[in-house]
Amino acid sequence: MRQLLSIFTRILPTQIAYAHCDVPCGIYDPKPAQIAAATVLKMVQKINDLPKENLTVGDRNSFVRMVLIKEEHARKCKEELLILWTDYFKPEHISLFPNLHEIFWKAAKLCSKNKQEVSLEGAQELVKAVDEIASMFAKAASNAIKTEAALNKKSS
Amino acid sequence: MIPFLNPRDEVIVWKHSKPKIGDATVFKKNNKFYIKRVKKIENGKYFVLGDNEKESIDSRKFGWIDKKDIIGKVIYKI
Repeated sequence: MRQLLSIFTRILPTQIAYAHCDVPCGIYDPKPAQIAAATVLKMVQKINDLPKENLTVGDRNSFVRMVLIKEEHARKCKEELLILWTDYFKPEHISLFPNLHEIFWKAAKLCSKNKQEVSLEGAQELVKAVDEIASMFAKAASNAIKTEAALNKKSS
Repeated sequence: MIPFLNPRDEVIVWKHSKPKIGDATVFKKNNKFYIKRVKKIENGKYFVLGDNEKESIDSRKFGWIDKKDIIGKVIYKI
């Protein structure tokens, strides 16, 4: 039977149907962005704590490493934010968060600012902006669960 | 649609019957064909969910599917 049907599929017109709209889908989390933002802040604090005069070779080495990590995590933070902005959040979320685009745009700009500068204030602003996005994500995810529960209740 | 379907599985779709609640159905959206399971039917519109609900992007995200976009129901998995 299986073989017969398999022959049929070679004769009959076949089309590709997708079970997912995106690959991988549904795997979104603001945590990586939060960790990256916290790392940027930590690096700025550590850079500021370095001695300002009579730097040893060790101090210079630490400075370069800290700047490198700050740069890398600011880039990672921006990348993670863009995934949430463009893939997770959908047009229907605008009614829940009318200033969603502005919040993301400002947070992404803060990532660039933190690459360019060593600013405690800038790094704190970034942490705050990413935390705000994490709260929005939690709210959107909880709304999706409520919708699903209401639907299951109705259909059962 | 895991565990019902895995990537590259082949199915036979019957175009000449209306999918009922619980049927795996093929529909067209943005010029692509998708397979999801019918969870609810109201006023000629279908609310579809993927079996792998935790990871599926379905009517919870893209809304109800019009009857005209329904291609048919899955009647056999090869």
